[in-house]
Amino acid sequence: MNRRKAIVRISLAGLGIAAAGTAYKWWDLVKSPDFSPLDKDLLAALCETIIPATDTPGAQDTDTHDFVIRMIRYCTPRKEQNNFLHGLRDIQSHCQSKYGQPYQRCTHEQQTAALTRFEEKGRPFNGKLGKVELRLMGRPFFIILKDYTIQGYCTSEQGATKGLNYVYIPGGFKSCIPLEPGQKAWATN
Amino acid sequence: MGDPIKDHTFDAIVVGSGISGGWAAKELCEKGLRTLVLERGRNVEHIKDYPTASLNPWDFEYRLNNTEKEKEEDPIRTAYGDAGSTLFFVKDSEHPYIQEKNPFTWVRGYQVGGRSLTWGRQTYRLSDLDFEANLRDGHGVDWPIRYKDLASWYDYVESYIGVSGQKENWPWLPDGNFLPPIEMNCIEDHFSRSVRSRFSDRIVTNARTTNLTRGWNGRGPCQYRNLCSRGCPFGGYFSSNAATLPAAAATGKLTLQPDSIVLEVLYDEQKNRASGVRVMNAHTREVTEYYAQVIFLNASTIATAALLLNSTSRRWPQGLGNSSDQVGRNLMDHFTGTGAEAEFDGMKDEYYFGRKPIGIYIPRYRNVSPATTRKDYIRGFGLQGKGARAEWRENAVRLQGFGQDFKKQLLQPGPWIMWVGGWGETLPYADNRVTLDAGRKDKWGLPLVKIAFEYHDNEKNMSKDILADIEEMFSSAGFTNIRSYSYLQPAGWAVHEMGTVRMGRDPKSSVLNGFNQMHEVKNIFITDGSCMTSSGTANPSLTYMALTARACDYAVSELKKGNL
Repeated sequence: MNRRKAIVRISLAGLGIAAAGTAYKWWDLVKSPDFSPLDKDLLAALCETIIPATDTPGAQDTDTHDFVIRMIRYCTPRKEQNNFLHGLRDIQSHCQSKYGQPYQRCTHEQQTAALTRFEEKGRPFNGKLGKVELRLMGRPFFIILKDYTIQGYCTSEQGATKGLNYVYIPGGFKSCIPLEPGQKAWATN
Repeated sequence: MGDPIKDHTFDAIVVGSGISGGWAAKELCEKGLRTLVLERGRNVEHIKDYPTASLNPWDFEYRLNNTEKEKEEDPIRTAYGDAGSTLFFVKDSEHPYIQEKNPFTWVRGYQVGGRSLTWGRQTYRLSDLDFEANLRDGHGVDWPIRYKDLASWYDYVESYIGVSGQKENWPWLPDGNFLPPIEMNCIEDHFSRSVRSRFSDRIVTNARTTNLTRGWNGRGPCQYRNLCSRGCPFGGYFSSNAATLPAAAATGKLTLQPDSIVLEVLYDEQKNRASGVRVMNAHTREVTEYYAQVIFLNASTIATAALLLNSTSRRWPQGLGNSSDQVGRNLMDHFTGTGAEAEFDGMKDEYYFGRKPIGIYIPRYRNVSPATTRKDYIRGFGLQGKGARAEWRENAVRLQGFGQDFKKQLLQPGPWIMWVGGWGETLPYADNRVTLDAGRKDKWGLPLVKIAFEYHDNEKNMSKDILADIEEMFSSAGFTNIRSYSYLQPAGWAVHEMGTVRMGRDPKSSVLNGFNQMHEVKNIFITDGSCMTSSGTANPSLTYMALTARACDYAVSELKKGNL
């Protein structure tokens, strides 16, 4: 079933007009989540693919995966928890079947290819249908992963002070100043 | 052991310690009255009780996110506060109220200082455009005062709280005595120049704010951390906790009593005066009475109306001082929910240092002259906005992909972006009202507050105009990727609720006179948002403070004349 159809069917399910297959899919979205796919090594690898270490610390250096796990457990609506946990399972089985090993042991190129695939797969539709999709089904796996990884990194001590430019107490305000070449953005606004 | 009546007798009682209650406390104490301030929430001492004020983002377990459990239990608290500031908003689950017809967002801060800790800090004077509005178009009743009655009190309040702003000599936004304004950044300045040159009927000015651009009365200056709603350890903005309550305490006349829920105002039928208040301790539920010659009610718009409605007696079956049946009616807010965000391609070599706590302000320009008169609605709106460069939060959404190149772009300043939104005047409708539900009680035995609120065509038509105007200003200033939104947010969202105990000239159609004194019970003064006869378009707290100072002056002179 393609996603466009799924959205229509799930909308109908919301109205109580459900075929058995749709009802199952709906259940998958709203059921009590099974957190067992929240594997620390897998998440550390996924976060690092999104924000790798370069001349500044990467996601692993900042324990961003721990933040992502806390967010999934405690700060994420039910449907998005399930989307995320399904996504973890799916990307793992994708890597197993295609590369014969779990994501965290894949090469950099394999990881990039796998995550690109999930980014494409989860991209919401444009316009109104996309909005309906997000409201009904919650954000997809890749968008959640990317959002939490960025948040976790940029609000971590290393990320804020080394990846970005964190000024604890500015003490004053300069309204218009030249941007130096290569200057990092402020960590907080 | 003292005499229980004498020990419980003060010259004045102030109910509530928020932005207006703090002012009443200061003014009454400084005029020599022994004043009891009753606050239903916990004590919050300036600096000492701001535990989150100096924390870094990584010091919070979920960074600044609220948990799903917290969001579910306390949707309003978590919509207004992040993990750094929820401590200053009440838990919805502990303080239920009933929303009739439509949702009404009642944001509360039950603690010493009330919402003066978390307010938006913007301060604008009303003008006669506002004070004459009801008379001109026949909605509500006429204000019993005009700008000239309040002008010197605006001066007085501003000179104490400190207001940073730019004089504009704009007819419908009176200037004050300002500290230097917080400067506009490059994009705000560009927007301002563009709007001023293309629209002769408009100005874009620096938001006027109580964030102090230099030290003032022992407080500040602002350190540009933009963490105001956690409480400011530098006293960089005005709050009761930082300013008025310490000033009141310094007189030696203040008794500040937290955890004290006022159940009702006591009425002495023979003297036709309020004699005091009945109070329950929020924790022990012990009930005590306190007495005074003059009583100021500053519990906030909805709570003050509820308190009067709950103060029934043989003489006042409809609630104290409520022969007019106006107590609880005419509830207003400023409607929000209409605005846009846009990008600007240019000025890529410019940046800023420090975190601005405010942005820009466009004062009302609609229905101010024959040339600006609309056929589809009366009154008008103010616009507020803020510009910045896209930083990681915005870049996270803007940028596709992941990996090394993505990271590089994510961590650099992106394009300039700006947001502008409308704050629209809401008319006083008699059916938008606060009542009590005698059948349902809170855990202190008080009847639950019931709020009925509905927007009408005037607000809906105005909101369409706001949107069209913002889009026009953005596109004429060369902005691109304009993303607008328009939906009437639930009322209450602006946290400018007002009007439920209105001032007016006639006791038959209003509750308070021109000095915020109850028409029917002369020793009660009400100077919180409930006194407002119309909503205007300006952020209202400055007006509450000015009205409070003026009412205190009047009350004390009446007291000395023996008229109370």
